Amino acid sequence: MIEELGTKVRELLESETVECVIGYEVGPTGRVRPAFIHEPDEVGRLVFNTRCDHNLVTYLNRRNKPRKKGEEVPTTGILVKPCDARSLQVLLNENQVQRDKVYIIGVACPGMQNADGTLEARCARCSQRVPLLYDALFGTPPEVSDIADTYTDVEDMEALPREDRLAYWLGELDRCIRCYACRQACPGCFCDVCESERDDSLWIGISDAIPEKAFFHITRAFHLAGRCGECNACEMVCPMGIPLSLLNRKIVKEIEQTMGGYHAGVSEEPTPLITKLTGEEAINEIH
Amino acid sequence: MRFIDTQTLRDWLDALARQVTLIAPAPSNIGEAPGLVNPPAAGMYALYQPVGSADEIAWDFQRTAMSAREFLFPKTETLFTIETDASGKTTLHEPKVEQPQVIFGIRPCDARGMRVLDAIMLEQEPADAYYAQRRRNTTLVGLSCPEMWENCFCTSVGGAPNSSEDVDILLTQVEDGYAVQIVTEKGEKLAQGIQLQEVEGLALPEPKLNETFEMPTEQTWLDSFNDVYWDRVGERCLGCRACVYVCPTCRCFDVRDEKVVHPDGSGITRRVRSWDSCQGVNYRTVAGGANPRANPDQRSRNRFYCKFYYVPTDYDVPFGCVGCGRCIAVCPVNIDISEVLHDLAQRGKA
Repeated sequence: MIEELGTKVRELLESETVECVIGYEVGPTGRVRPAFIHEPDEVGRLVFNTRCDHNLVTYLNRRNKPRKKGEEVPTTGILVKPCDARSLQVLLNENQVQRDKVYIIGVACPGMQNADGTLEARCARCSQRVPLLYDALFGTPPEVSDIADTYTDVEDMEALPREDRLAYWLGELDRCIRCYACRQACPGCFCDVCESERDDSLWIGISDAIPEKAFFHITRAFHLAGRCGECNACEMVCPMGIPLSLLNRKIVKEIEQTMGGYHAGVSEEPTPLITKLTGEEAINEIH
Repeated sequence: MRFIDTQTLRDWLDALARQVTLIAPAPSNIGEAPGLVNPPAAGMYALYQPVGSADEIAWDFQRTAMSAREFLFPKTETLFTIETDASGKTTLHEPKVEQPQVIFGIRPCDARGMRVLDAIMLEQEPADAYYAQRRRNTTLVGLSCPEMWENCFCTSVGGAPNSSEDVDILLTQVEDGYAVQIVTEKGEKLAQGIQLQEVEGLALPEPKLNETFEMPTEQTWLDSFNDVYWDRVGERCLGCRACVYVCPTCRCFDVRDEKVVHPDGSGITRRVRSWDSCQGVNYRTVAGGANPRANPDQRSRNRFYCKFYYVPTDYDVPFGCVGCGRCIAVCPVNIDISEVLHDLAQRGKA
C-alpha cells in the first residue's frame, strides 16, 4: 500500500498540485513521527503502520495561515486516518481550512497500537476503518464489526462520590506543567491567542497552580464541546500522563446521549452543535 | 572508600526529614481515585518531591519526569506582595526565607544542570537574590546512574553517569549499600551525622555507557543560523513547551503583577514570576505586536542555539545542555536534540 501511496505523493509533488505532503516517517531511533515531504525524491521516507497515531491535521492550522503578510497559503497534501478526517471535517466546517488548499490522502486504518502491541483504547471502541473524507484512498480496510462506545471509563468516573472525583482531578491536574502540548496537538485548538496565554492575564494568571491548571483544562474541554473528534492526541502527547481524554469523552457522551446521537466531524453539514454559522461565516447555505 | 549500608542510610534519611526539607524522587500516584474499575491512568511518575521518610522514596527510579530545578527556581514564585487596606494604606511583604533543604538522589546530570543555572543566575551582577538564597540553603546528595538509559547522552556533553563534580555527596550503589564520596565542605557537614564504615578496596561498579557522539563546532553553529535545516525541524515542532519545562537548565521566566481587589477597595497584588518558554508564540512579542521569532522554525532553532552557542559564549560553562535526554523522551513529534547535533556536526564537515 505504501508503494501506491508513494507514487501518488510523488505525482502530487511533481505536478505541483501540492507544495508539501505531511505523512509519517521513522526517525533514526525507530520512533514514528510526522514527516514533511517537499521533494519527490524524499517520498521513500514515508511509512504507514500501527504506530502512526499522531493527528497531522493540527499542522493545517499553521499552514493555512500565510507566513508573511500577503503571501499565498500553500497547498498541502495530508495523510488522514478516519479519526483525523473527523477533525479535518470540523476545521472545514468552521472555515479554518480552505478545501482547495488541501489534498486529502485517506488511509484505511488498521487500528493504532500501543508500544506493547496492544490496540489503543480509543481504537478498541472505534469501528470506523475508512475516512469519511478523502481525495484518494489507500489501503484495504480490515473487517471490523460495528462497535458501540459504551463509555465504561466515563461511567466509572461518574459512579464515584463527588469528593473522590474532585480529589482525583485535583491530583491529576496538579501534575500539569502548563506546557500546552495538549492544546498544540489538538486540531480543534486554533486560536491565535489562547485565553490562558493572554499577556494581560484577563482570564487566568501565569502561576503554576491548581486553579489556573484546572481552569485551562476545563475551559479547553468546553471549547471542544461538540467539536472533539476523539483522536486522543491531547492525552497521547501529555508528558505528565494526565488522562485528558476523559474530560472530552464526558462531554462527547453527554452530547451523544442527550442530543440525538450527535458526533463531531461525521457530516459535511456545516452545523456545529452549539454554534450555527450563518451569513458570511457560513460555507454553504444552511439546509 | 567509605560505605553506608542500606538500613543505616534509610534511618539517616528518616532523621534528616525531621530536620530539613528532604526532597527525593517519589512516585506521584496522587491522582488515583478509589473504586475505579478501569483506572484511566497509572499516574506513577517519579518526581522530585518533598518526602517525610525513606519509605516514600522511589528507590528504583531511573530518570524523574521533571528535573530538580524547581527546588532552586520554582515554577512559580511570589517575588513580593502588596497589601492594600480599605483606607488605601499599602504594606509590602517580602517572601520568607526558605528552610534548608537536602535533595537526595539527584542524578549527576541534574546536578550539572544546577551548575549551568548557577552560572546564569549568579555569575554576573546582579545575582538573582531568590535563586541565591535557595542555592545557599541546598545540599545535593547525588546518586550515580548504574547505566545510561534510552536517550541519555551526558558523556557527549562532558558529564558522566557517575560524576561527582556537581554534588556535595555522591552515593553509588554497591552490594548491601552505597559507596560514599564526600565532595564538598557542605557535604562534609551534612555527613557528620551519618555512621560511615571504611571499607578497604571497595570497587565502584562501571556504569554501562551509551555511545558518545561528536559535537558541532562553534564555527558550524555560526555558519548554520540561516540554514533551511531549521525550517525542516521547525515545521514538525508543535510549538508546545514540554522540552523546555522538563529541561534542567532552561531558566526563562515571565513576571506579572496579579491583583485581587475586594468590593471595599482593599486587595492584594502579588508580583509573581513563572517559568516561560522560548517555544511559546508570545515569548518574543514586543509592545506594538512585532515578534522577531514569529515562526516555528525560529523558535525551535532558538532552543538549540541557546544550549550550544549562546550559553557557552556568555557564561563559564561548556554547554547549556547536560544530556539528560528528557526533551527527547517527551517530544510528541520526536524532535531529538542528539539527532540535531549529529546532523549539524555532519553539515559542518560537508
